[in-house]
Amino acid sequence: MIDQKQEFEIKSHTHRFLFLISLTGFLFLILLLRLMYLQIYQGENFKHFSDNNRFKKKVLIAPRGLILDRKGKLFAGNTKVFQLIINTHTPSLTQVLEKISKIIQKPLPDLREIIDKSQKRFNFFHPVVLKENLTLTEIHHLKQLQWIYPEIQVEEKEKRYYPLKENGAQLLGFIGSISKKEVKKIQKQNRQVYLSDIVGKSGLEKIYDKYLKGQNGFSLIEVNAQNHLLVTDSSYFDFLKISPIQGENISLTLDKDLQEIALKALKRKDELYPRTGAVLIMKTNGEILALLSDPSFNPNKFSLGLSEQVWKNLSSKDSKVFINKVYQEHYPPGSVFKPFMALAALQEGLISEETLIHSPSTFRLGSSIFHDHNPLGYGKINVLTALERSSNTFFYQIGDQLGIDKMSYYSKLFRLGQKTGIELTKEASGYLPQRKKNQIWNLGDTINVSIGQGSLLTTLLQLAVAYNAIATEGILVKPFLVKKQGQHMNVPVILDSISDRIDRKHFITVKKALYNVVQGAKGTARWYQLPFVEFSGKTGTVQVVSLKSKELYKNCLEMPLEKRHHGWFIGFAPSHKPEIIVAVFTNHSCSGSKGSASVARDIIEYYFKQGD
Amino acid sequence: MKISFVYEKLKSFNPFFLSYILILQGIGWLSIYSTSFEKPFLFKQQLLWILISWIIFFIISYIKITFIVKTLWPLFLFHMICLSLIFILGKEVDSAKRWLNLGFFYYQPSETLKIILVLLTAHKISQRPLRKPFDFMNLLPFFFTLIPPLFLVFLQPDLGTAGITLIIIASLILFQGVERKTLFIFSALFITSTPLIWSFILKPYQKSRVLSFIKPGKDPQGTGYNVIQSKIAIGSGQIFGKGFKKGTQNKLQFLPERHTDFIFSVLSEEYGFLGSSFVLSVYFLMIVFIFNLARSTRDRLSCYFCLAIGSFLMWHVVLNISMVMGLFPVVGIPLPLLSYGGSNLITTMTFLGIATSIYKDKNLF
Repeated sequence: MIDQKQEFEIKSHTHRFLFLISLTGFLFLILLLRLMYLQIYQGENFKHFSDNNRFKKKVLIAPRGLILDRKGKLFAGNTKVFQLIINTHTPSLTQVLEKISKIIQKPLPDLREIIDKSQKRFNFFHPVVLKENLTLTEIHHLKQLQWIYPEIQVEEKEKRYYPLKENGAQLLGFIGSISKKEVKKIQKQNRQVYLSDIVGKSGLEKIYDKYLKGQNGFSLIEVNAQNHLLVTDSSYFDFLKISPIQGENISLTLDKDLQEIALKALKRKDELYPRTGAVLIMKTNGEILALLSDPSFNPNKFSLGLSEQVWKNLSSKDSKVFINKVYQEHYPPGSVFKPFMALAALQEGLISEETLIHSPSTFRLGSSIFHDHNPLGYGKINVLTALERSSNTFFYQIGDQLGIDKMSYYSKLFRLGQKTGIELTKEASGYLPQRKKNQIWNLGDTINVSIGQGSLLTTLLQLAVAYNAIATEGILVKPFLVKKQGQHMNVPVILDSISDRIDRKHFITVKKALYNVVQGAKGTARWYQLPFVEFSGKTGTVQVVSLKSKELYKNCLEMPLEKRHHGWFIGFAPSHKPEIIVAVFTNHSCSGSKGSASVARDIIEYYFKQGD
Repeated sequence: MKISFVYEKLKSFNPFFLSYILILQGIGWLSIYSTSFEKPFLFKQQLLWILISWIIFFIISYIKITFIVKTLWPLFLFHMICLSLIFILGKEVDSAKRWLNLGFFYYQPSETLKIILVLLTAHKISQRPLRKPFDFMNLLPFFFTLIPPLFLVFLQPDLGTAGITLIIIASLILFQGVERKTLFIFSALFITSTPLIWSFILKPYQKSRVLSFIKPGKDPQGTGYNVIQSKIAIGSGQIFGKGFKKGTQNKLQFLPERHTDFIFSVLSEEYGFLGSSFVLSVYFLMIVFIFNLARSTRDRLSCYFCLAIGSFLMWHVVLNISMVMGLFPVVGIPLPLLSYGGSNLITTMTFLGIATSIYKDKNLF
């Protein structure tokens, strides 16, 4: 049943068959040429591997991306160091270790311990890093030893470097060897990971690790039958090498010079030296210019694998060095809370700018007596004077009239007691006391909260954002400090504008009062005026332990350090056209004025001198 | 008497064709033997598969293709059921579900599905009006028949099988001829859908394979590393090879998937350029034999069956060998007759059996 037509059609396709066969021939020719290239042209090279047939992959860790400030100055970079590597699979290990022990001055048992740990982490054949950061003399001696014992290797390595050392260390964070937990986490994200990887362990290094880390490369190293490293010209295998790709840079809104000035100001040489505490400088649009917390640690020590001993010292002595007091710890705000009380009372119509209230040295509620820091009292004063001189009794009365519900309503407008949403981890939220429906409220608590004590807790960052809202007459911004990560640019974000809920004229009244705090004749920070720029702010002093009334007026400096008051100063400058917010918190400095306002003064002085 | 009977029977087969098959299977088996020093059951099992595949080959060579055509639709349905069952009962290996446990062995339906889909396409093309190229409407039925099973295979996920089946089918359709306009539409569709497939359908590991091919630095530990190892194995074989069981790359387990997809690297290492180019030539002769057979047939069904079988072999060989030599991304494509594995061997031998059946029929006239 041959169909002539069908047969004819098949015959008519002759050119297609020819094409098909030629295509096959062509594809096979490519395969043959590739075979020739691999087996004949490159054959010698490949054969070289196979003769020893013992080459291993060596991971080339990608250099981390840099962390830069707003002008491109370095916050975290990389430098080169030399490290000592040893191949432990050798019969002469003990002899070698003895020699090395003398050169790098580490006892033999310590070296053994390092080897044990490394073998547990990787495997028996993995080369062990005995010491990172070799000195020049050590390198010289080791190189000589290498002639006799080829199992020794001196290798160049990238090391993370933080030029500002302790300054801002909690913020930048540090790096270290990857842990098993982190390996799993990264594997889940389908990113490549190696046991020898170095990752960010805290702070920005951790948060932006994805960008900073880069792409590891690898090269092949040769080992002989016993897995000994064969010292060969590594460029020989360059055609198989894949170079690492450096991680992306992160640009911050921080200003490195200002960051340094901020620490210098905190460490100003006066009778309170050396202060500890936290400093935050923020532009009114939310860009953070400087952020530091002291005491701190030196992250440079971490970037070379922290030794057990250093770690123990650090964590036992004071693990608080890892806490960033700007946003990870909250405190009672004390008197720096008073401007928000004033705004609430003004907006509620309880008082006007001129209303005079008799403010003696004590305030009595039932059987409890609440004291003022001024044992003489103030007489009849208005809200401007009350803020300028920081009268407690004035605000006790205001608080009593406002009640806790109004107080928490207005505090909430300024986002006190809640996270600011900054792009950092472990931000503390603070605490804003609020009365639940039908809850019986202790009026004494209201009185305490009205001067920023009691259960009210805020972070320095929250206060800076809230004062920024006063300075800008109602604009709440989201603070941020990363300007650019990868290809992504961050821009200022306005979270809320509360000028519809608090009248602008009340903001102006409070700003007038804050101006007087520094520039007025009786202001609590009047000693820190600057000749060329006016700034405003509010001091605050909070008790660390509750004091008996006879201790109350005792000179703070005579008390033991851990019992001394903390000092706050939150301010903005210039007074009439605010550009920056300066927030200072000093531990156990006795007063917000001498303790913190002085620090703020130095910072503002530098900032506006630079601006000229 | 008996000998002459066997001779009479064998006379209808082409001796060259049979010897191509034997040579390739032999080399494949020796290479598997060489790789499986730590798993000796592998080469014993492969020997069993070779025997079974020859039985199937001879049985099929006596079946007329007009009968085979009748079985295609029932088999198609059967495979659709199997593929659906795999999602419920399948055995999971490396997070891919491709195998059904049939008690005595694991069956991979996607392998035999290739035969059904390819032959079905060949059959449908042979029924079309003479000398009329495809237009868009003609292609739609193909589309609707082929996409559901291929999508199931793709979901397993088995990108390699789904992809190569599509390539073979596309070759057949193109051979018959497609109107220019339609060709243009499909090319445009293909180009526009590529980014969509990339971002929504491909799994991260599949993407990383393609990326590691384009840019080996992307994934040096995974697939990029495998290909480099494979290239070293092939290259180090040089002209004469290292000799049987002397492939050190293979011995030291530097080679991944040695006995299955990367079997060509093993034989290149052990038999060198001489051996590997010999294998290439045998494949070439075999494929050209089948294409020539297609040209000399007198009915379209035989012609398109042969074309289907020829392009099946051609694409498998070309893509697998390109892959192990670093010319193509690593996708799971076995090397016909050489790779370890029953499903693929039986698929290939079924195809070759059909080709032989056509060859014998042709000689009757």
